[in-house]
Amino acid sequence: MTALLEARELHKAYGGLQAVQRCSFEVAPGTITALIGPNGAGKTTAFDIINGVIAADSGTVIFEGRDVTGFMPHQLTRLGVSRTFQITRDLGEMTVLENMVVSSPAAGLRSLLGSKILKRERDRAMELLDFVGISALATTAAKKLSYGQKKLLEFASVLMSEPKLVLLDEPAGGVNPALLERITDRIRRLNESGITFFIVEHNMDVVMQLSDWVIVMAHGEVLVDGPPAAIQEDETVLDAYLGRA
Amino acid sequence: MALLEIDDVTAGYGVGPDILTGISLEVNAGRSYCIVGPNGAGKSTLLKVVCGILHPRSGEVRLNGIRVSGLRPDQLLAEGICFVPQEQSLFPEMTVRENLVMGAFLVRDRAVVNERMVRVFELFPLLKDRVSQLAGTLSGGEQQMVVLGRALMVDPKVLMIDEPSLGLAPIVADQIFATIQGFSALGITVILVEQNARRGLESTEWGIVLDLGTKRFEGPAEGILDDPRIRELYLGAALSKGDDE
Repeated sequence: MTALLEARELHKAYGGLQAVQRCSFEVAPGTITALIGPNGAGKTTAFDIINGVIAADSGTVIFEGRDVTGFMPHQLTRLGVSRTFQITRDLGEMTVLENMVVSSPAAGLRSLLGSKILKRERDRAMELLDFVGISALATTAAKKLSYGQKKLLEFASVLMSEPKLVLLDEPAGGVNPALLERITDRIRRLNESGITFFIVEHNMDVVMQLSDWVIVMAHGEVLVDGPPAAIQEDETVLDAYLGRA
Repeated sequence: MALLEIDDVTAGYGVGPDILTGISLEVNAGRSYCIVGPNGAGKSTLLKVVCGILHPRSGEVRLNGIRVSGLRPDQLLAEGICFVPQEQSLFPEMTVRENLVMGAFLVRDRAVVNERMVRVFELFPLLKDRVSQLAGTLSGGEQQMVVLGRALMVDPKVLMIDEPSLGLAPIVADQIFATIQGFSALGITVILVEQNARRGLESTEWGIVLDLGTKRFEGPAEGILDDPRIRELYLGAALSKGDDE
């Protein structure tokens, strides 16, 4: 099977520190793939490179067989790669619905400039807010949401662009158990509908129960990858987390 | 009575969720402790609460039976609670000597300051040779020695050290761990947080395992990583066969 997303030999150094080196991996279409590793392993750097937030020193990113190395985040969004959209302070003044609409790549700037929201966009946004269970908050200012509600809004907003691949950065971070269950359930349902997920997550129960495939990074490189049960049994993975003697 | 008691403390940042979720533990005088646990367990947050950078949302911290939570960091320092953060905290434009003197800014008696500096030089002979050198021109390992030396200038009752090996070459980290191990011999109570759990536990007497903001278990540092619960904490609950459909 051809990979949906492929990273080939990524390198990125900050000063003398090799954050990512010889980093190669694949995300198969239709999977929920997790990227894990101890603090400082290079997960977020790898994620940022794929998403176009930072440029790699060398290496290639392939999406659907196409070289997308160096593409900007909005270009990737148009191709179908979407990433958790952080609610900034400015966007906090806007309503939940408006936040959803600015996340739509077609709408972005126009909505910010104050033009009317298209009915199609509004319907799509409401449908997604309903899907994550916060449609009742549509007219509430985003800054008034609880932490958990913001998390759900972030999650719903990445779906506005009808992505093929969704990159999620710590979807379970700081989320209470009930909400966590809702988020993982929605990820599963979206995955069943054909969306591929690539997730960086520290909550190992979530990683192991949710993903089909786990990629482990340590010291900027891919240490090992495999199905969750095999990763849990792997002594080199545990050693990477506990540190070397 | 324990030197330091942490009693059912909850804490978090800003309007964010609780990072510490009702943690209780006791620290005895003259002992050395290493706090381990997966990312997000609340290790660094716990240190910040004890040293007064972050105030608990509920619960309290007691030193010799007297409530100290709610005091400012400088007041806690005067009580003998010293925190060495993981961020770079030296004054790079000042000499090694000046940095060390800054550590004793609460001490008015010059003779005491000099006496303590002699003790620091006994522990770190290398610093004696560099005493007039600007701290910013030292190597990473030497800077970490100045940081630890400066903390000793406070003559702390409790010395809390957050991730001292971060960013250091393995051989330099070895020296730092050996130094920390030596603190116990001097009768200093040490609380160490270290990502490299194996090394941190080797340098201390007692291990405390945190997860999701609370204490999971504790025991003699040696052997704590052999506890089967460790694998589950770091790599998630074991998947029963056929669980992943």
